[in-house]
Amino acid sequence: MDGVALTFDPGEITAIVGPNGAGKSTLINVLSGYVRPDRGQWYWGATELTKLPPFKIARAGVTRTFQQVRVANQVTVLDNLLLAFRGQKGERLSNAILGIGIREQEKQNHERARELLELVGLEQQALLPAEVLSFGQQKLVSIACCLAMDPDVIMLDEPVSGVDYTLRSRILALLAQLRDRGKLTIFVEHDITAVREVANRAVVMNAGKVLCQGQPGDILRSPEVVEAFLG
Amino acid sequence: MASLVSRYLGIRFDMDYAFHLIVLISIYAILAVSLDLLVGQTGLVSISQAAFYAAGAYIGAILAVGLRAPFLIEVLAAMLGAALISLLVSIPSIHLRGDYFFIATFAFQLVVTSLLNNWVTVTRGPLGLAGISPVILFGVRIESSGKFAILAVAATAISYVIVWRVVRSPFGRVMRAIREDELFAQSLGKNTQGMKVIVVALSAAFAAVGGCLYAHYMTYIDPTNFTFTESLLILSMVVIGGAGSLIGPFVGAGVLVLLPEVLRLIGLPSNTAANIRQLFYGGLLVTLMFLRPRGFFGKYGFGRKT
Repeated sequence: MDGVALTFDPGEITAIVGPNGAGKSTLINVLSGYVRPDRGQWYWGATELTKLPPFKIARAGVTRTFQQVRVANQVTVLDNLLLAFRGQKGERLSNAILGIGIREQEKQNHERARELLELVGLEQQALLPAEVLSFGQQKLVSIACCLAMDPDVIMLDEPVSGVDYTLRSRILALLAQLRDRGKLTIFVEHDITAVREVANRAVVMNAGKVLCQGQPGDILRSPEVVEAFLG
Repeated sequence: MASLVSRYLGIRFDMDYAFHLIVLISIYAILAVSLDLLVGQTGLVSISQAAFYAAGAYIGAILAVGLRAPFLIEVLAAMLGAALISLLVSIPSIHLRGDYFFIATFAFQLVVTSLLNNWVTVTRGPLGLAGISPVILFGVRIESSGKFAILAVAATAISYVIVWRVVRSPFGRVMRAIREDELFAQSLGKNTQGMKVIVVALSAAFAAVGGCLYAHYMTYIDPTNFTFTESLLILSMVVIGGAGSLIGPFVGAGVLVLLPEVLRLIGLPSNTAANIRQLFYGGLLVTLMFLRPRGFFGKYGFGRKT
């Protein structure tokens, strides 16, 4: 990335688009702490997140999915979601051994997990190991895990690429719900139709720089952008 | 029933020897389940479990011989000591993954073996520590093999209950997430590096319990009891019994403790028995990797997501 300066607002869906190698996923990796930038800072509100490790950024309310979908494969779908809830007392070793404060919280988390699975349409697959799910279903699991964290910011790396039409519609509907709930959603996508359907704003990147940004309908038609995509 | 079987096989049935086997299986079951916390639950393959076993044995023995400390105090001190020692390997290497972590633990095992042999003022080097007194627990002097078998089985049961509670808790869930995909676990806000340090310490603490029991049972320990070969044996128990399940390490311990006894019945020549036994272990491991890569009761396969 080179001189990328962006501002995002809550309740907005921003799509990051551009040709392969434009720096879109790198941007997500920098914002989520998996890549340390050589220079520059980024803030969520008044809190600087630049030098924090990924787990602290996630705890600050900034979550993400990955381009190559990542879930805990040999663990059930339900357990994947249960992992995502914050502030679990049973994650302290002493509480785990002594069983302090776990039962009630687990019960509540199980209920919330089931609700989320219903939301993404995977309630029937709850007790299956995540590895037996289709690629698209695994994407839904990873998105559901983000939602389970009740974040302020959700960053999705190619959420609809490689999924069938039904799952695509489900995912786009989820993104619209997130916007309605006042969450900031940033998603990287090659599917321009999906961008036009849900995004309030599009940022076009090429060769590590921001080319332009604005309403998807306007900027995706501009000659500059068409040139960048088609070469 | 046991004497009928033994008459048929033409061997003398000896209750003391049966208790001896029960003690060994119990000690190795504790060692194997302690290692399974790393290997099966967290996906950290380690070859230094004998180093923590040694820490427990030597700390327990030194406190027993030098200070006549009560047994429970010895065990707690050994657990704490082993957990602290584990920081020497976990903190420098915890960001390493896969093969590199394995190599770091291998190096740690070699360093500990060397220390045991050369730190003569503390460990008496190759001469070892002798005269380790019997356990006295709640006023009962545990000298006979039968009484020690009861103690060893009780210690195993307590260890297993604690491990079971950890494994089925949210803490255990995070361990398995680290095993499956550490980057994914981090994206969910889990401090995976911190967790791994804690798991290594917990694993070391349980191995130290096995060490304390062994020291008191044998009443003599030396560095040859805690070498790389011993770490390999414990790892084999986890792999053969099955990683990621509580029953697996227990079965693995039983199989590998009883295997030499079965081979003894075959009547191998004494000058080649040890070598043939090693051949058998190796063959069993390789065969299992082909036929049952998850071991007898394993819940976890060792193929990793990259």
